[in-house]
Amino acid sequence: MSSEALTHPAEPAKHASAGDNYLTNGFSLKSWLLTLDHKRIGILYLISVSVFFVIGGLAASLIRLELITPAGDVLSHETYNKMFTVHGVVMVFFFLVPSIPAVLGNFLIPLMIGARDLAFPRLNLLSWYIYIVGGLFTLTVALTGGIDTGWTFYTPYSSMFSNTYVAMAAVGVFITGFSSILTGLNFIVTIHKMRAPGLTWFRLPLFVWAHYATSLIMILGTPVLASTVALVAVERVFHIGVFDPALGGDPILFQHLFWFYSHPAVYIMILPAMGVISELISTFSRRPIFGYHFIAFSSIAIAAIGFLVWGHHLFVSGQSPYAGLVFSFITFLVAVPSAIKTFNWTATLYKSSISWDTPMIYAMGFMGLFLIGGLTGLYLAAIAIDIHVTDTYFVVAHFHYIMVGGAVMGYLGGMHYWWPKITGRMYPEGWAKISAVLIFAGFNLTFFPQFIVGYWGMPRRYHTYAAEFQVLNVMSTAGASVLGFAYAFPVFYFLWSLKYGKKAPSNPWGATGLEWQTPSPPPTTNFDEVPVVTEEPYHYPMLEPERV
Amino acid sequence: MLLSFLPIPDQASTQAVSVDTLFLVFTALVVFFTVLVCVVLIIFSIKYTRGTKADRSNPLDGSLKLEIMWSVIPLFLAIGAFGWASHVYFEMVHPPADAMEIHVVGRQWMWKIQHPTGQREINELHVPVGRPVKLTMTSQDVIHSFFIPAFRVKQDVVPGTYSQLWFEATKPGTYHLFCAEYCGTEHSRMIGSVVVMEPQAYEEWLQSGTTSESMVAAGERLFRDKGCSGCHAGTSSVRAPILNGVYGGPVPLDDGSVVTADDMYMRDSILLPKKQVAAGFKPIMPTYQGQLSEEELFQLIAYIKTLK
Amino acid sequence: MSSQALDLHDAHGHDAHGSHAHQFDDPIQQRDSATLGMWAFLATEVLFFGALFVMYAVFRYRYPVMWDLGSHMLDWKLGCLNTFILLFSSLTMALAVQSAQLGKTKRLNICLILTLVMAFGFLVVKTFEYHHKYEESVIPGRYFQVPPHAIEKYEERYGTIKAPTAEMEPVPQAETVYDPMGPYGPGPVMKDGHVEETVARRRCSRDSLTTTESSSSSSRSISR
Repeated sequence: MSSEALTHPAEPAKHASAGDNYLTNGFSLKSWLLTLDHKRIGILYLISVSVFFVIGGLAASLIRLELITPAGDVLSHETYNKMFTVHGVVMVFFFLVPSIPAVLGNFLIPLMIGARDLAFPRLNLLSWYIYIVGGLFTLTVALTGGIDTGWTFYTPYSSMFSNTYVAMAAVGVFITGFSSILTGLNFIVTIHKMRAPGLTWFRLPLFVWAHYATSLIMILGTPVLASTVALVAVERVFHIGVFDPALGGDPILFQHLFWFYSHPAVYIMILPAMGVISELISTFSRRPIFGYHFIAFSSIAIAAIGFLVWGHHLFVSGQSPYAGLVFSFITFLVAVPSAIKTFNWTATLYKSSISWDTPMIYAMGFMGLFLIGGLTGLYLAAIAIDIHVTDTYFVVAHFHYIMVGGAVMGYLGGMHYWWPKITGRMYPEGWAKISAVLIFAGFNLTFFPQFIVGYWGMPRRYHTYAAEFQVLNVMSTAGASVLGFAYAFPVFYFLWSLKYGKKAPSNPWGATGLEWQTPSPPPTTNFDEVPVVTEEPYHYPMLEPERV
Repeated sequence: MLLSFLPIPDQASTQAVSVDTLFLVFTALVVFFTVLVCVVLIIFSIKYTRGTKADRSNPLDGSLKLEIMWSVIPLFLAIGAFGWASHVYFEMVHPPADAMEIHVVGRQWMWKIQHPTGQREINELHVPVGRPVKLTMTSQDVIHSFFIPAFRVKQDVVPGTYSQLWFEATKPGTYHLFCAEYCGTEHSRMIGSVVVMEPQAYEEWLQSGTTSESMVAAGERLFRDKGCSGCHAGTSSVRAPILNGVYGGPVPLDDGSVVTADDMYMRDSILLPKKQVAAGFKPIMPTYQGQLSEEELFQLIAYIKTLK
Repeated sequence: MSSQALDLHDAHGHDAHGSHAHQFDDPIQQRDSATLGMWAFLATEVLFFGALFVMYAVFRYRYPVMWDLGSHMLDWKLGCLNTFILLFSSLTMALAVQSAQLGKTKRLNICLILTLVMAFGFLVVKTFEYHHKYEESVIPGRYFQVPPHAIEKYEERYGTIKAPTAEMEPVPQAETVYDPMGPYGPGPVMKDGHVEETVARRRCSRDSLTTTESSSSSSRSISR
């Protein structure tokens, strides 16, 4: 097969003004800060989530540095507690939740469905401003003394006992919640109403399906979190007994309300990554995705079931054992749609033609890490085992495999895949491959030992720990330094590529999908003409055996 | 032991063995699926890398048969795993009737423990080997979690309520005791040890400490000193329920419902007497909120339990 | 909500597309999107208040007596009046929208003014209600007090309240020995070896409107 046909199946013939794209449409600060263009807003998010990632990462490095020795010799108790709280709050609410949806989703959903923009461009810009205001609140708290409740804000510690600025941090999280609600709302309306002619639901890229499922969780879960943290602030400031038993409140009620959002929030983080992986695997194996309908519906199934499993965070809280059993059973059921996805991705590679570009390496890394992260979730679904491992490093390892091994690998894979589209430049492939492999190795070295130390019984959020846990902690810290080093690579070569990178063609990977049919970077209006879709998704040409 | 090369921590309770067995079977399943998927991935990756010669004719775009297979098999495995794990859990959750009861109060940042005979300990728990022990626990400030890794047991200790935990130690020795729920600045200092002793040694240990009044005796004293006996004793002129034989039985309430008189009911009756008023009595009892410490409540309840 | 309304009149791209915003193909698509967006927004509102409703249900179940007592402290006449004002202002606002669509400027103005008047009316009623509560010290936090008439009502229904702090002896202070070199570090240690409670509950002092003392037991027993 001629590689020409593969790499440029649908090169658009001409553009009225080739140099005119969304990046060159105005250079003033105002043209960025007041833009209504979903692509520019995506870039604004890219910059801000990167800043938060660095902040969260610095906190993580201090934590790992402290944990090299069992004694608390680098940080004080107070500082350590503030560090893991900053790490958790920033990474969850200000990096992971907005990362893929607000950066890649924002940029790509209109392009993928052949729309000129999201349905509500002003709402989209408002979401970003809300996010920034919430972020500034939280950063102010972090800089002026910190907060030491952990990202989970468990009551009555957070509402009555902590001597840090909990109320202000709660307000920050409350505000940011609305950013995510509005983004989800915008996506839902856009996906429902703005699809190009011929782009039926089952012709949508799986990336869009995943974002649809994510948006459902965002609009149905986030409001509950918002009112819950607001209640924490109210109890703290006005002493109205809601969660503190000394004031007649119920501390377990907080956990129910908090996890009603925060468990589905895990799926907010992982579902978009799954959407990215579906795109990557299909593109780089030149095959239509195996079992398209099953992957699409498994996203919706995960979103739906995800709302019914929050009680598995409360197995040792004293909730009724029968309630525990129900939650345990439903949690086991989540394994099924996740397994369906994994098997379908694997089957896609059958009789394919795999090209090992950087995004594909990330996709394979995602598969391995998600497999471990997902399967270790089964231990936590089983109450008998969960009783032993909950609130230990086993849980820490498990959710990092999902959130970092899954979501961040998906995010980085997606960034590499769509970078040429977003910036019009190619990044240096060699460096990118090295950093992908380093991230994978560093990640495993950091978090795999934590499964073992967790089963040995090391509780999470421990500043000082028993001496026998040290070896594994040192391994973990060693891994973290590799990981931190490897994460720095992309920052440099991405920035380098902006000036020195090779100019990217409109479709460097030879992918299907509407976003590859406009120039790189796309013009402000996305498409000169509304595209009409006549083909199934991932319609790659049949591979002929003798010629490949 | 055959599996001693595995990184399995000390097993020192009856639960530890069943939890570890479950854990190892889960691990076997997880390893099987991880290896299965990874091997298939690697084979496909090598075989179908672009440029290699391979048979790529008649590829599959989807297969209902395969989809059903890989949905139904995990589903049944998940249901099986759920069934087994729940069975183990139910054995863990119901303490045997003859378990000896020890009371635990958590606070920032220490564990305060009192044995039935009155001995108090801080951050240390002495228990006999081979005898079921039931811990009744509460917290006087924030949520803590009582965690003994070697026993594979953990239970949150929540202010304003009683939680229970039971275990039967199988191996003498000293084991870690951790607070597992983040509880503030010195959370990681809220640690201690559980000392499992031969029954004989435990008896000796009980005798050796400074003698103090037993929990029941302390409760009886409180029952008098706090004025409980003024109304709840048989000779009282005030009409209040006689507490003999109340514990453990059903209590019909004012509003027609019936509750079981367990520890939590006792606690509520003392602190929130108007919440559940026994049928046929006037809600005239004052609250003892702020009058009794958590330990004193435990003692009072321990005494009321003995009233037959 | 308002931002969606803004989107409907998005000036950006008006020249090219006439009556609809540039990202839409036609006004119908625009209207459909706005409608769906509004429903999605309402769904988020339901969930937002859902947490508050759950909280309400839990505490109503836990403290039925308190709730009963609380209900007697409300003025049902003022509440009724405000409910009516609220609903009626919705009607006038809906009529205003309809008038705007029909181009009836005079009716539009009347309806808008009526809505505004009712908005102020609502606030006036609330001022009376809140002022009354404030005077009786029925306010959240440490200055909360149960007003005398509510206590009467309570005693009428549930029997007399004995004020525990007034009649009972305070908890006797245990005799302590201070043992700085003791096994549990510096702190008062009881004669039988256990550390006694003298450390006040570590209550937060930041974020509070009021300075917190060591224990809030006094306000607690009243709020019960």
